[in-house]
Amino acid sequence: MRPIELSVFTEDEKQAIHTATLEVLETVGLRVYDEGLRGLMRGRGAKVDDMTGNVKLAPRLVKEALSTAPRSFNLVNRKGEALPIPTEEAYICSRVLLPKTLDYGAKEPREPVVDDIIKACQIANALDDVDLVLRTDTPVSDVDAPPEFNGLLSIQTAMIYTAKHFLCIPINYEAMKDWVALAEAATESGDLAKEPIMTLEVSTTAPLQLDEQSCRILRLGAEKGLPVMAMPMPAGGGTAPVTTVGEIVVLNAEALFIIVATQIVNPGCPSFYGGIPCTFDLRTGIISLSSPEFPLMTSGSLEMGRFYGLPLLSASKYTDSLTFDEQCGAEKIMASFASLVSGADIIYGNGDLDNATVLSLEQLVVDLDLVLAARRFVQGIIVDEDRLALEAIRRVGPAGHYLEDPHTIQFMRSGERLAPRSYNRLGHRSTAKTQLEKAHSIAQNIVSQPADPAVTEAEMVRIHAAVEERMREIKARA
Amino acid sequence: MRSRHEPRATRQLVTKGRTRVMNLILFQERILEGDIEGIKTLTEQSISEEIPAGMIINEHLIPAMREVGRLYEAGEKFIPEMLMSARAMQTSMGLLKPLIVGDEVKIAGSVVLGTVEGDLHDIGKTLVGVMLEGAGFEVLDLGTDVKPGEFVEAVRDVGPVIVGMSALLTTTMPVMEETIDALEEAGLRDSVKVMVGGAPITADFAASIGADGFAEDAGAAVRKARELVGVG
Repeated sequence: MRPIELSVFTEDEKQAIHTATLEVLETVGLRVYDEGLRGLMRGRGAKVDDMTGNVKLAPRLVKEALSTAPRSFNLVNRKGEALPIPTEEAYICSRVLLPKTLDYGAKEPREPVVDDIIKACQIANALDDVDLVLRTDTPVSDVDAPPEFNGLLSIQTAMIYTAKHFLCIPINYEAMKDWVALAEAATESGDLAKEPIMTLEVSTTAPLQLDEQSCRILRLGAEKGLPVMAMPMPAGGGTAPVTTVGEIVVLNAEALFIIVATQIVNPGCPSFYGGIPCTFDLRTGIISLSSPEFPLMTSGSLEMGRFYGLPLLSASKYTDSLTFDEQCGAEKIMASFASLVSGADIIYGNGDLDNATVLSLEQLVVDLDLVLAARRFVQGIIVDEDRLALEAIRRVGPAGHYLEDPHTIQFMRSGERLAPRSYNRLGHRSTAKTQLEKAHSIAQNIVSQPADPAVTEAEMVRIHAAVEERMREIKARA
Repeated sequence: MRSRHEPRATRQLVTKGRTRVMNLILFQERILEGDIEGIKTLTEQSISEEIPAGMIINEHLIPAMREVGRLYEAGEKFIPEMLMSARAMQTSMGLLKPLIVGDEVKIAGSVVLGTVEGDLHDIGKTLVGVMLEGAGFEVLDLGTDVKPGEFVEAVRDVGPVIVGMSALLTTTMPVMEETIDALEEAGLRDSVKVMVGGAPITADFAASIGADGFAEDAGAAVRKARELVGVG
C-alpha cells in the first residue's frame, strides 16, 4: 500500500468487472494462433477449438494461475543489485531505442543509428533514479552487417552500454532468441530464472487475439523463467468497447489470459499485470495512447491488477504530441500521476514522443523529472514527532529563520525536498531559459563524455561469443 | 396536398416529379442514417417503379455517399456512422447490380485489399475498403494475415486496377515488398497499381519498396486511388 493510493472503483464495481471478465474468458475466449500454446492450454483444461483457434478458460484456470503467480520476487541488474517487487517506490524505466530519433532543434525525426542507443544508455546510466531500460526492437540504419543481423547487433550494443535491468519488446520470435542468447551470456550462471536481468513484454492483438509470434515469444520467455509482463493494448471504440469500463473488461481479460498462459507454461513464473488502454478516435480513425481517458483507464486497470494482488507495470509516459510542448507535458504528467497513485511497481516510457515512435534525449531528461514529481506526491507527507518540528519551531520562535537550525540540517537531504534537474527555478538568472534548453544542456553534458562499456571484460567476451553463435544459427537457417 | 379531382395526366407528371425529387431525398436520408431496412425497401420500391438502376446509383447513391464523406471530413460524422452509411449503400447496390444495363454506371475499377501476412490488424484496411466502395470501386477484401501468394492469386482471378496492402506492425512491413516481388515474379506487376498504408508506413517507405501509392488515412486513400486510375 502506497502512502497515497487512489481507488477509482468500489469493491462491488471491481467484483462486477471481475465477473464480466471471467464470463468473457469462459464464453468468448481468445483466439490463439499457435498450436503449441493451444496444446499446452488444452492439457491444463482449457477448452480449445482447433478450427477457430479459440481458447476458452474456465474460472478455475484463472484462479489456479493467480495462485501460482508469485506476489513477490526480485528483478536484478547486471551489477548484481536486486530490485524487489513489489516496491513502495515505483521503479523508473528509460527508453533506449524507438523507430525514430528527434534531435534537439530538428523539425523532423530521423532514422536511429547505433550511436543513439549508446547515448540513450549513457543518459540512463548517468541519471541515478533510472532503474531499468526499455528497448523496442526496431532497425538501426547504420549497422554494418546484413539486415538479418541488425536486431542482434543493436541488442548487443544496448547490452554492452548499460547494466540496468532490461524490459524487452522483441519484434518477433527470432529477435526473442537473440535477446535470450545475449541475456544468458551476460549473466554469470547463464540461467535467467536465477538471474532475471531482463523482463519480457507480451502483448495481445485486440480484440482477444494472441498472434503466433507472441505465443512463441511467451513460451520461450516463460520456459526460461523470465518475468513476463502482460501488456494488452485495446483501443476503445475500435478493438474494444467504447465505454471506459467495457474497455477495461477486455484489457483485463487479455492480461489475465497472458498470465494464465505464462503460468501454464511455467507455474510460478513471475508475472506482471499491465496494459495500455488506448482510444480509437471515432472522428479521425487514429489510435491515441494518451487520450484524456488514458490516465483514468490506466488507474482502473491497475486497480484490477491490485485486486488480484499482482505486481503492476504501467506504460504511462506516452504522448500524442510530435514534440516537446504543452500537450506533451500535460499528457505525460497526468498519466504518470495516475500510474503511480494506482500502485504501479514499474513505470516506463521515458523519452517517448509521437505515440511511442520517436525518442528524444532531452525528453529522457524531462520525463524523469515528471515522473519523480509524481512519485514525490505519492510518497505523501510523513507525520511523526521529528517532522512535526515542534522543537525547531520553539527554537526559532517568531521572526527568526530556519536556515541554520539543526532540524533543517537533519532533514534537508532526507527526501523531503525534490530538486528537478530540468526545471527552471532560477527565473531570469538561469542560463537556459526554457526546460527544453536546460534538458538539452544536461543531456549534452552526459553524452559528450566518453561512452564506457558497462560490462566486465569477461561479460564482453561471453556476449561476443553469443553474438557469433547466433549469427551462425541465423545464417544456417537462411 | 394533391386534389383527387386533378386531371389524370397532370397528376402523373406531378407524381413522377415528386418521386424523383423525393427519391433523392429519401435515398440520401437512408444512407446518412445507415438505415439498412429502410434503404432495402426504398430500393425495391424504386425498382418496382421501373426507375433505372443506373439512375439510382448515379443520381442518388453516389451523391449521398459523397455527402457522407463531406460530413466525415468536416468532423460531423463519426467513423461508425460512415460505416453504417456504407453498409446501407452496399445493400442497395446488391439489389441494383443485376439490373445495371450496359455502361450506365461507371465503375472506377476493382481493388484487392488485405492486411499482410503476420498482421492481424483489421480496422484501417476495412475503413479503406468501405471508403473505396463509397467512391465507386468494387472491393475484394482478403482479410488479415494475407500471404503474398494469396494477393497474387486474387490479382490473377479478379484483375483489379489496384492492390492495397495494410500493415500496423513494423515487423510485417517487409511483407509488402515481398508481395510486390511476388506480383513481379508472376508477371502481374505491370497490370496493377500497388498502394500501401498503415500506422508505421511512410511515403519514403512506399517509394523504397516500389509501391505506386501511399495514403495516411482512409480519405487520402480514396483520393490516391482515384488519382492512380485516372478518375480523380
